[in-house]
Amino acid sequence: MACTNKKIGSKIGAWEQGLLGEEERVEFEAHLLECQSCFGEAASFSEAAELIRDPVVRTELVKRLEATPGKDLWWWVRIPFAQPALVAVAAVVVVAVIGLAIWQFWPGAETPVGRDLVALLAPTAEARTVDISRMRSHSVAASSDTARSLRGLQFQPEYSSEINIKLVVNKRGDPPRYRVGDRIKIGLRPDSDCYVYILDLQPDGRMSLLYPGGGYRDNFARAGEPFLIPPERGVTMLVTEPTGIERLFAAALRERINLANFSDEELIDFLIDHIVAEAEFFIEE
Amino acid sequence: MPDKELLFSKLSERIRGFATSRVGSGRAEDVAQETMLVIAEKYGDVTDTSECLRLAFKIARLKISNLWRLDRRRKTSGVDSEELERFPSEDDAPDREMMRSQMIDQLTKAMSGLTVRCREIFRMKLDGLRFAEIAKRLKVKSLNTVYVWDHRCRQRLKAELRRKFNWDI
Repeated sequence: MACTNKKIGSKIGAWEQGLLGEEERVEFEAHLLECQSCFGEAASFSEAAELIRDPVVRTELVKRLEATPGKDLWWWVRIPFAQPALVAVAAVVVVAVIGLAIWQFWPGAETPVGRDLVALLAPTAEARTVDISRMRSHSVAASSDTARSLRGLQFQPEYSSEINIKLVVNKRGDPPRYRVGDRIKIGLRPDSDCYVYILDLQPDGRMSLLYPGGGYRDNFARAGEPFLIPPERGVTMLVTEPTGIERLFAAALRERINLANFSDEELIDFLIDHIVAEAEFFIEE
Repeated sequence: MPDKELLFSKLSERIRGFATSRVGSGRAEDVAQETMLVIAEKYGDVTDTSECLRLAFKIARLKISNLWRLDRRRKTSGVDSEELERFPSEDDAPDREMMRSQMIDQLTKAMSGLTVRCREIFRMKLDGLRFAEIAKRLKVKSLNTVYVWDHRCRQRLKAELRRKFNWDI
């Protein structure tokens, strides 16, 4: 049975935690009494919701979420006086982690992941190029809520619950630096079979689906095997403007989705919830 | 606030629908009637809709778990025994405390398995932030966007709880 008014029905989580204003609360409760789907939703989750509403439990949950080592960098945002010092500490930690990740997963590193990918990512003499902008599709504007929210995200790979992916580009550096006109190739390796979708947050804040795109449709990546973007050997992408930091996010799904079923914003928003890896690089003139 | 009679009639109808999905239509009517009876007799002075809804959820859940319990005794239930353990009866307080502690553990683990955005939304909700404030922190202009994200995150949390800990939700 489907919700009779999804706009109101989506407020269920806010209602459960008593976070709706008076007017919205009255409106939601009137909906709850009419909509069997939402009533069932609320009733089935009511035990957990009741538990979460308990102040002692709330404090405990927040404490535990914050105490999970290395899993959340957001809490410092709420402590104004602590920000400068913590930003510095966080920056050092992030640089160290990225450095370690690059060292560990860099194509040239002495790891099985790196050894395989280095040969595959290196441009070959007969290399053909594809303009990176031709690979992009389903773009959402920098001013959209989806793009804005992603700019604030600091992704930590250990959050992924099921699929882990190593994501690299074909240059070394922290971050790797490319000039406009350079050739770029992306490599990844999942630890289990999945369909990969690469999101691209451009320096100007625009958000797009980079892969599958540009005529390439096969996005099935096998467990433990390298997957290259573009997939053809000897084909690389040509880096284009705008200049600045570009971030790549790999989303992984167990099943292929039909891109045509989503609006641009819906698709990007859906994939954000399935991000399992991130890489970034700098584009200069 | 709706008229009390209308409120009770709607509540009864919705509880019957919910109970049908749990114990079948044959016993759903009993669950609905007994739930409403308890509310009317024990909580007759409660007129607030929010309070009535929460009471109804709690009592209906208890009635349903009692039916499952009864079924188990009769060895006729198809309900998973782990599921039953999550519904101790009112008289076993130590069990309830243990269950509560276990639920907190499981909730934390399930939340940890969510995406950064979902965790952040849950954390801000746990901190008691209103959605307007959450939208501001997430740099989102539309409040409805945050409601939709929260709804999805809630669905994912439910899925994690079902998948990892067999919660019946």
